Amino acid sequence: MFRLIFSPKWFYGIDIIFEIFFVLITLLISFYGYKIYNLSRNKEHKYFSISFLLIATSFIFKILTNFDIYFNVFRTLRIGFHTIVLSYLYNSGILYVSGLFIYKFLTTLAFFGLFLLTTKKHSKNDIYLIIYLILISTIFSSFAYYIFHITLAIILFFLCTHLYDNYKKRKSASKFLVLLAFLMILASQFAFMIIFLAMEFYVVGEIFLLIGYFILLYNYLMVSRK
Amino acid sequence: MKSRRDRIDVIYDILSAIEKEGGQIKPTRLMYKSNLSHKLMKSHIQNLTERGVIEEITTKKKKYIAITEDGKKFISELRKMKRFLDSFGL
Repeated sequence: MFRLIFSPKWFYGIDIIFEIFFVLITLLISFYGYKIYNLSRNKEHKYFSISFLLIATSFIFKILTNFDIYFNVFRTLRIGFHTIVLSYLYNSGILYVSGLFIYKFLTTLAFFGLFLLTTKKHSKNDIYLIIYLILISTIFSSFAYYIFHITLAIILFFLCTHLYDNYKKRKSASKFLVLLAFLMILASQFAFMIIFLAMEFYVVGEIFLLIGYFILLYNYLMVSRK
Repeated sequence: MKSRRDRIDVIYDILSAIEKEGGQIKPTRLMYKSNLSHKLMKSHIQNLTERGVIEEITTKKKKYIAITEDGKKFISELRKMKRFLDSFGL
């Protein structure tokens, strides 16, 4: 049995606004990465741009599925007959599961892509194997939501260790900001893991994400306007 | 070991070498300063001239490569890009 909604009722819609903000930031970074790729023709820069584009796309799927669940299902609940409501819930459930599946798969793939880019050395076989494991963990996370957050937290943890090494090599404010942003995104995963204790942890997780993506935006603006 | 330079690095090295020499440089010195083969440098010079980033100036039988105003803006944009990539460890 999977849970349909993780957000507290008072937070419906606010999370969607947060996520629209995440989409805009990640699209901006993806576009800038693509601009760099156009000049450098370096594949690393192309994959960097694609990774952020995947994050943006994944949030679009999350927004659409949440929007459908929060507003359509519950509006029908108030005005419809009981049997119609049940059938609508069933349809929305399918949409929700498939929408969330795409969201989880794309998010994990995107952060894994960023991890690969920072670590640099890896064989093609390793990459195929890990993509397979990401797919498996995404499928199983439909039954136990926390598997997705654990998987993402592990990838983010390794990504953060590489960003920390990068910061330590030659310290700079922008390197620190990027590290801090990804630490916030990592912290959000811990909050999402314990939603079963209280739905308010969903809000905490979304706030961590908001801080993380805001720091990424601030870093982009700081670097590109200097 | 130093990693291979990509196009951004090479273009940046060319433009910053010209800038460091006061805005214009002799082609042979540029080749030495930007650590490029003659063939590669020629292709980059042609590309950057077409973009309007640099120009070739000939005075009293001497040939120079000079950075344009657009080139100065371009090198500042490249610096931002390099800083941005560096912040992600790329």
